[in-house]
Amino acid sequence: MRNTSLKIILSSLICLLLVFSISCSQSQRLKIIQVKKTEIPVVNFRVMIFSGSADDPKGKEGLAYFASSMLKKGTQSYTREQLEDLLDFLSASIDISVDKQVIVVSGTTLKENLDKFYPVFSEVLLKPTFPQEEIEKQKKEQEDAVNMLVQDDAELVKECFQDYIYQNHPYGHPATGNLSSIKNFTREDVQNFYRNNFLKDNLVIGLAGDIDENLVEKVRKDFSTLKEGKVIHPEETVQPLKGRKLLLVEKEGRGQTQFCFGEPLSFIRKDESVFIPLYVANTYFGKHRESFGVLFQTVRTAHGLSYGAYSYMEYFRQAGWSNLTSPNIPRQQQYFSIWTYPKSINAKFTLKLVLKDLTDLVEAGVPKEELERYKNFEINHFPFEIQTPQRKLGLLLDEEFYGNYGYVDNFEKNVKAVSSDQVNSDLKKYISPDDIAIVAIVSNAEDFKKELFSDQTMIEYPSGVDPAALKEGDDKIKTFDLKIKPEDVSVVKVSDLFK
Amino acid sequence: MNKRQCLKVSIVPFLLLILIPFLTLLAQELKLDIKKNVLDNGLTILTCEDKSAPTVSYMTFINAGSREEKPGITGLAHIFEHMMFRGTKENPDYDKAITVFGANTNASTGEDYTNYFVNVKKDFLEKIIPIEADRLRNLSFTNEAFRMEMGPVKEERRRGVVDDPDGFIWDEMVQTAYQVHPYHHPVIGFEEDLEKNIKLQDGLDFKKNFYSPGYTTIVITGNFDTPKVLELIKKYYGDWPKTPPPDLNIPAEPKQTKERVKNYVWKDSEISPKLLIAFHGPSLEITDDDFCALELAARILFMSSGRLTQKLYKDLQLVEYISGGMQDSKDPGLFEISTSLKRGKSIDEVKPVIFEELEKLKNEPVSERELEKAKNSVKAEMIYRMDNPLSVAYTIGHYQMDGGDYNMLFEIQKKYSEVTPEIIQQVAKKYLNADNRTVLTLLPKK
Repeated sequence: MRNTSLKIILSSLICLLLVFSISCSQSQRLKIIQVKKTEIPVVNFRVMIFSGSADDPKGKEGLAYFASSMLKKGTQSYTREQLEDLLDFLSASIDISVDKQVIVVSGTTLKENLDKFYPVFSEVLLKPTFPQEEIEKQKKEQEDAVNMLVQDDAELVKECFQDYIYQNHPYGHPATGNLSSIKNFTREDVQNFYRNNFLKDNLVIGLAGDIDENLVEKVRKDFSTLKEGKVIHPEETVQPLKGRKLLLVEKEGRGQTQFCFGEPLSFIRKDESVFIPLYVANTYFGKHRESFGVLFQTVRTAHGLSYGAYSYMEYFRQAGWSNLTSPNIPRQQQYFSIWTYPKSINAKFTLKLVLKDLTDLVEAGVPKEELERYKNFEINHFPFEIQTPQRKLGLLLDEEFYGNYGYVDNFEKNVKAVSSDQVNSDLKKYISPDDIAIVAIVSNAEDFKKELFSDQTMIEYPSGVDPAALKEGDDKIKTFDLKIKPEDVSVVKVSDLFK
Repeated sequence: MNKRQCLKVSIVPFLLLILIPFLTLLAQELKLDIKKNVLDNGLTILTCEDKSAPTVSYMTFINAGSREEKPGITGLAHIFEHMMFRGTKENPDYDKAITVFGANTNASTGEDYTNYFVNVKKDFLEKIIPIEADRLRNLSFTNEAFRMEMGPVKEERRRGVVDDPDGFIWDEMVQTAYQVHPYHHPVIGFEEDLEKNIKLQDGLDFKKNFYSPGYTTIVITGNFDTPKVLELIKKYYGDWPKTPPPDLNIPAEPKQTKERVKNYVWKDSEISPKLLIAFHGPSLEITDDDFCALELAARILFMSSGRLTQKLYKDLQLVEYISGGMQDSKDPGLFEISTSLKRGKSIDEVKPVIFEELEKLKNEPVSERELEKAKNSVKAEMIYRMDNPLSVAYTIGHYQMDGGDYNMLFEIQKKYSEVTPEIIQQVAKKYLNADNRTVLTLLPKK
């Protein structure tokens, strides 16, 4: 009797374990990350698809962007016009962004409209129809996006920089593609891209704000209808740079020279043992829109040469009008870069000044007491990174992409553990000031080259600067060896870009 | 007391009876409990606690911007904003003083006001208050530092105006639409003023006139205790001497009587043709009902499903983008329409479509659904803005500065809800006319 009972109990337990493991494996296939905060009656959805412009086939650059944009152009129940009308009526939004390795479809609604909004949001992802008449319109919209890229110098210089360092690599074209590739997209291309990439195993879903279990279960049930399947992503290593290379983008009439320079990083971004020390080093050197950075202090505060001078240890996009980075632009392969924009007459001097700052950083490292200051800064600053449910959700989705689970929870501990020796040796190991790419937007490339290779380095000091006080340091900057050879300079006219 | 005044007096308590429950309801919906305190020296403090937030936003508003500048010193309010980061005797390095707390700090200058914010973890608010009070009261203001800031400001202007076609055309618009009111000059200032006209004394006068308790409002939002914070503010700002308000005498813009048109050619051939149209409109003042009606009209035209967005962007595909809105400002602002044409498309194809839709607004009432969509969007936007202390602080401060009272952020919602299709028609007829219009074009170099 006792044995029989035991058998029954054991077999029941085994059954329970089986059931549990099945439900686990199902939920692993369709992962839903939740950040609940009910104080504000708003619900956010974010679906991250692990495919992006790096998956664009050769000759079809811009396809990921094109196909993703088509999601909002008609579904089984709604035409494009009906979707736009309904979203406006609900004061809700569906936004789609495409980067190198991810597509993110996000939705925002007031809680009171959730019942009306969710069917629209889920249809956009699950039942798009890609109407033929919208295909032609989307081509024109995407051409506009390419044309707009060349109009904003700050965006242009950063895009050109990426295309330059990632030549012959899947990262080496803008998400919007180029004018000739866009022309050839067909409805079939879009359907194929959707079929091959919008798969249950190739995405993660995020929900934030005023959410409850009913919503989670509904989302899980509905999105489980997506097909299963693996996506093979191209894996190519980035070629390291050798020496200093300069690309001049010629665009007439520039009052300023927009500079972006840097190099690909050879470690994988998910490797936090390297990323976090370098991230803190970058805070000291040139954190975005912070006036305490070394670059800001030398370029703007001391010399008044530019409105801004910042550096980045990974691809950066500013979130709205805050100083913070947008989450959900994760890339396994990252680059280090510097961005500044002096008056054109001061371009050569600024280039030397920034390169000297970078060389000094790598050679001397971050002073110990400064490192502690900026570690504290990052620890105390981190609450802003996660202060809204959407931002926290964004970072948790990035954890899913990188597989660096616990990044958010362990950030403080990991920053505290950063040592001076580690920072300074990593700087030497991963940043090579002698092997970098420099991209500049200039009015006249020939004139710029002449100035670059002349013995003179001009500087026009702003009226408040006392040149005598800066003379000693500035003389050293003027004689700083740029180490750029004429054969390492290439030129492209802006009118020839993204064709 | 005449008859009219009598009516006003008798109707006010009745209106308040209706209005107060409505405002309370909205405040509850937005979950905002704003408390106002004014120190003896005139300093205003607005607090709004949110115990669920891990951070605090401490925002200082100076009720002066480029509107308070006179000809010859344009750009001064903005230069002053830069100066505020240059330190004091007590804290010679502002950045150093603030970095240790991981604070997120910045500032902005507009036509009507200047604001400075520090966002900080709730534990550090007490440390921040003396630093913010110190820089406001004791800023080091040397000629060297003042001249020094001109360099970055000129580069900011070069980036935002000289090399930016959108910035350029907007600057030209305000100079053309406004002839005598100080909105005529751009916030960043004219180059010759930055270059040579502004003197140190101008900066010192600006400081004396406007960086004073009567012109300052501090807005604190997020996770803190109001009584404790008020004590600290009294401690660090309480003995800040009161100063008499300056004699401003800001000239009103005379009524425009004729259309103004200007055409420009940009310095390179890469830009898309741009068209900017503006009509003089009302101010944000609570007594002016027209503002809300014009803002809703703009949404009916320019939302995603709006009339002009659908027609010009989606159907005819003549433009890369089109947007518009009613500027919310202290003095009468502009109802503006901004569009960038597709390459190869002509201004003459686009302009008549815009004018036709504006005429339609005058001649036919908008549909109830269109109006409801527009009303829904203003209400939802306000709720979306409440998701972090910085955005809440900015919203409260904005209405306190431009609307004259923070309560306007609730009252304006009621005003929006009262707009009818007929009122939209009336304001369209009143403002959106050719003789009240300024039209600017910017074409690429051939």
